[in-house]
Amino acid sequence: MRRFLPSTLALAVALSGALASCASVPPLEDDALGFVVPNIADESRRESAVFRLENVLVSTQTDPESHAFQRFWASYLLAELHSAAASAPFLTEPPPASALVYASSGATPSRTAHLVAAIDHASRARHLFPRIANRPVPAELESLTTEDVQANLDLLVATGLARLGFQTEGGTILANAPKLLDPDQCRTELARLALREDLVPWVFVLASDTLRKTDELRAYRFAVIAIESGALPAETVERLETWILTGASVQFVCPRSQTAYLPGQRKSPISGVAHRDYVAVPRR
Amino acid sequence: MAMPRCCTSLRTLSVRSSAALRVTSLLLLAAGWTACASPARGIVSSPPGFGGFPTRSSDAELWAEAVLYTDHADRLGADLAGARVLPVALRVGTITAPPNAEERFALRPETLDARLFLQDGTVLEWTRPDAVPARGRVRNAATNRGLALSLVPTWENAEEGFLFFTLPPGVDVKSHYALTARNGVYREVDLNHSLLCFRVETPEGTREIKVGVRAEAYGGSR
Repeated sequence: MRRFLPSTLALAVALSGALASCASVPPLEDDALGFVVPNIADESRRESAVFRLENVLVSTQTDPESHAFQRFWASYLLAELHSAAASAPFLTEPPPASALVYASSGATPSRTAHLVAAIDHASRARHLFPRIANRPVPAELESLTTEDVQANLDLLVATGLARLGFQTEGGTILANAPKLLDPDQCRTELARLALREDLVPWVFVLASDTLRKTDELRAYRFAVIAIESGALPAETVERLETWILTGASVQFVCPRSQTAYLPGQRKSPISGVAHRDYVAVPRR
Repeated sequence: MAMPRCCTSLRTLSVRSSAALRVTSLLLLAAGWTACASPARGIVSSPPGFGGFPTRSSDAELWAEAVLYTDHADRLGADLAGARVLPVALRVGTITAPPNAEERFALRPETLDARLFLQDGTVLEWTRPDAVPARGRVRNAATNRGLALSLVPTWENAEEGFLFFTLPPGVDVKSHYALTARNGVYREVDLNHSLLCFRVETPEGTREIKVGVRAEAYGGSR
């Protein structure tokens, strides 16, 4: 397949490209993007931005070698757009069967469809990254460094997997980022990377999951920070609290009053010590 | 309780090489569409370097495995391509052992809400086996081999059954590839990178389960 597909793909795409001449763009030899960088935060224009960036991928398909720079950045931005759109979806899926009992509703917004697409585009960008690693970041995105871009791609995939419920796999990606696994440095590092605010609690979840086998106290602290963000689905909070209360090999208690972690609280009702400052003691 | 033997019961065959000719026709078909359809732009191919979604379920109490048999006609005894239906084999079982574990979870047609998410965000909707648009042998194959929607057994006792997904207009499948069309952009997607979602009834309500799909050729033994 690896020997065969490129030639068949090239043949089909060449034919396709020839027939759709409006799609072709001249090779861009320099480090110019050749397209407008969308404002990811502009919810009302995300769908049209996705449309435009997909066209960049299509129009550069016939000569991907010459357009690796443009294809990388289009894929990166598509991943960002779909990741953001998961919170305000424009892709749809059929309504749940229970909804049809009450009304003949049409398609419903699909968070999952956006997360799947985000991981897909981020994967393309990660594949292309070595090709652009030594080239400067486009002027339109000059607030980022090349290293930041790579870290952001990893986080887009990791948080995407976590948001789909695959925390373990997402945590594996995080395992090579020591600053993100340190509760004292994580938030600063995420701010430096300018990670979207709604993804930050998911990094805490992933860090907690990743650390469970090696450092339960740090895993606990990340779990508490994640829970206290108030931005996670109920089932994720429940899963984190279940691990704190019964899953960990140690017990987390207030260093002064010895009171145990209490779901729904932020501090010890006796001493006032914050949950995140609790210590680990042998389970009684 | 033994963990499921993920990926060991069937030997993955070299589906990629056998699929090459099919992909050729699929892509040439796309090129033809490009000439006829409006607006028409071209193909975005599947990204290399992506291994697909985890082929274990996202749930701690239930194990699920989803397999797309690229030569499903051998296994089902009928080719469902003409009915524009994509069959995906699913096996679901409990992997924890609380009292009456096998009575805690149930799959019900009213609440299953199965969806197949292709890697570009295209969604395929589940159709009941008795609603597969076909007759005779094909309909019988669908109804006889559909996933049993009842209480979820333990993993050891769980049997594989098929979920059938309707191919909407603009989506065509060959082997483990699909071609999707949205906004005039055709995308070649690898079905190995698909995500299957469905809901299970629990005493506390329904719970969504997600599992990555893996494509295999049916080797004739299991």
